[in-house]
Amino acid sequence: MGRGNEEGAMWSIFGYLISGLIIWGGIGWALDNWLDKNFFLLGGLLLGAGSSLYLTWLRFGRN
Amino acid sequence: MRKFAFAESGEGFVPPSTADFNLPPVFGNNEFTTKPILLVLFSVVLISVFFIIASRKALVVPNKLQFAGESVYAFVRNGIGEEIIGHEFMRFVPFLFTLFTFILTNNVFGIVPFLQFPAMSHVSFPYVLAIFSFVIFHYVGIKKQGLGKYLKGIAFMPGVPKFVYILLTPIEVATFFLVRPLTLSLRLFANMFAGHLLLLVFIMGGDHMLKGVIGLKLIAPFAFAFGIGMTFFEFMVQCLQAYIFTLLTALFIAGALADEH
Repeated sequence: MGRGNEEGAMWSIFGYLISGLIIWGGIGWALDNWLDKNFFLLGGLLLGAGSSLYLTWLRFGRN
Repeated sequence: MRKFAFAESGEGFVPPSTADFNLPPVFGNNEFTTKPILLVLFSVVLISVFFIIASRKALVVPNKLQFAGESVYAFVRNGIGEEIIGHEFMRFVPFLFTLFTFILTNNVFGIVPFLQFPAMSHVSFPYVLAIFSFVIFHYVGIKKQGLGKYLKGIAFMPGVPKFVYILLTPIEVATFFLVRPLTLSLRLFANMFAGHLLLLVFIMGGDHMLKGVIGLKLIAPFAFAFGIGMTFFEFMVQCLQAYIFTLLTALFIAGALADEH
């Protein structure tokens, strides 16, 4: 495969990282506001970053 | 105009801002004849005329114009279409080719003297292009695999324990339906916006220094030289962004066509 696919993989990974942070960070932030706590946002961001990396590994690193 | 106000008032340098992107209507008060819209219309005419003339009499030994047209076409067809999408690529080449030439022409307008405005620095233009791209790659995937199978392929990565889906499915869905069109359009918009602003800073700054005290006058040529250097750099960015937008659209289509991700 040519250079195009590497570039594509890079942007896909970037997309996953962004989505992970937005989705789980967003859920954490919402829980913080709802339950009046302050640790769900951090937890959500870490969870999102971790899951994104796992997803990236599943899609690009497994074989 | 606002941006030359400092010359009359004798006040400090007014840096370029987003206000410099809100250009007034060209004809009277008609909101539909602003510079970006006219440039987009002009680009359509320009691209059409160029490729019609370039392909009108196809010669075995091509002349310069035909060669230029064919080079661009071959670049999109082989370099993006065939390499990324694979054996079904031919039916997407018209779309990819239109996308590439349209974005490229409008981007390069940013450094063409007198035109000097990239329409893609108004975010609505990239949004529309991203919507086209979004609709087409989802449509292609749904048509090829069926709605249920296509959505299942997006949401559920094969070969992972079931409980992990709680973590991964929201990310996958958000990537395909939200982050992809957003990053596609915002990348193009931000590059064109920042590039135009950068050129404005150097050229307007040089212009301002030229009107200042003698010490500033001596520095002004460096600002202009940087402005010229940045113009060449901008040309590279403009071509690259047109390429990346088309490349990513092709990749999304290829991903939707593939049976499994």
